[in-house]
Amino acid sequence: MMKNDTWKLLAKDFTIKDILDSFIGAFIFASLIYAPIAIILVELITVFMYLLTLLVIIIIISLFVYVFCIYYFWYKSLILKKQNINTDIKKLFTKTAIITNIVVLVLGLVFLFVMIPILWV
Amino acid sequence: MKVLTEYYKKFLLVLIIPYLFISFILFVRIPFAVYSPGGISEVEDLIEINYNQDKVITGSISTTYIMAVQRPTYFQFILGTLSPYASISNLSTTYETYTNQEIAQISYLDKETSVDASIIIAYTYAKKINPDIEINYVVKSLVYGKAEYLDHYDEINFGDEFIKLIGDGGYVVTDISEISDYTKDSTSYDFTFKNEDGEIYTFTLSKDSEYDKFGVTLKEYAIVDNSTIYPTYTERQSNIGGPSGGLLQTLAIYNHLIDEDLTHGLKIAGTGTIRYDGSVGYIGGVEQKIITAYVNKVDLFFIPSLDPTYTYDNYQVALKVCEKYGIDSDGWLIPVSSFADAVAYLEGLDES
Repeated sequence: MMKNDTWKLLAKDFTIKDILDSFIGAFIFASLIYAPIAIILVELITVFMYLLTLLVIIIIISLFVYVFCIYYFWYKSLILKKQNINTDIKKLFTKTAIITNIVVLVLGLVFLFVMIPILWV
Repeated sequence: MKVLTEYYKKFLLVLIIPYLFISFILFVRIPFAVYSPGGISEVEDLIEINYNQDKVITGSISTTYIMAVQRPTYFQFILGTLSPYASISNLSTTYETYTNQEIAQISYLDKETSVDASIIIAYTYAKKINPDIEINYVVKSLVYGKAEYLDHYDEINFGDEFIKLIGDGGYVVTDISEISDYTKDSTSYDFTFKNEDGEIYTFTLSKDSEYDKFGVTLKEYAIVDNSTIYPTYTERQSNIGGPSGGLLQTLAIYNHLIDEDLTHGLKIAGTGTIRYDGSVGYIGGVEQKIITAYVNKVDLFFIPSLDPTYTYDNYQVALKVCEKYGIDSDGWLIPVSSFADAVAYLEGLDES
């Protein structure tokens, strides 16, 4: 309920177009940073396959950083657009990023312990 | 987007050169091959035999795979030099003209045909004990190689079945051993193939003036006749290519068809191709496979041993690898020259 209220407050401080534009910008910026890291990790797996579990855990951790990057750039973009706002964006985005990362963690563990053994035969 | 670009403008400009450099080492490929340890894969996950479903198999039988990166990127090449277990070699001359996708296709063809060979050998051996078992096969000639000068290169795929060609004097050639005898008078002949969807197609292929060959390599394979086989089996799509799992696949299938459990609760792995006469063939990447098996804590590792005097005999190489990495090979590394050797060894464990 609280969370919904904060998002509504954010929608009052900014237009939907501004929020979406900031998100897309943040997503592109974070992806530009993350893309080489992801490719490096995948290429690491091709040579260090026997360390697969460890490397998948590192990928999951790197995804946490990626998610935080998206939220950070999103926050930064919104703040740069308008400074006098009522919403505590930092708090809102930190909470949302943590929730997103919990989802990433669960999906990552499912991939590691369920999907890989099923798919890799 | 605009505000972020404005805000990080300097930062982005500074990063362009390192970014281009990183992209270069991550994407540009070089003509080498990097071999590194991979993993083990239980045969039961790949081939399910619809028989003896209640049988309790206390151990496991797995194939061993390694990672073979053909044409690695600069980054993979650097990783290969840094890894204590990886080896780097020039790209095999056989693969020089192929794309990585084509190399993968050949590798999967090897895997599929090795499963058929394993089924045939395992069922044939098990039939000696259990006459209910039924196995029949047909010999097919499949496209195994393509030269750059092959006509209709993109339309003829690896694994397509050679059906016939109209040879000299209108003679219909269906046996690949007769192709050279009946293609002497002309330079172009009509070849008929069947693709994996069952579609039959005919192309006129011409001999290359320099090599005096058509540019298509055909190889004979025994393919299981699924309409008469008993018990039936289900083969899952594999992500792992190559024929080196043949011996272990055969062992696992055979173990499923007989009453006793050959695994004796052990984690069994190994390597070696299987031939249609039940003998075992050499494989590559011995060092990486030994390390893979050791890291995965297998109890027994079967390895081909065909000629102890041959320097590159797999078992002799494996012994040196064990010595190099301080692995105790006694009772762990088991040399075999045939499927029967491996079965005899496992049956012998029962007595001991």
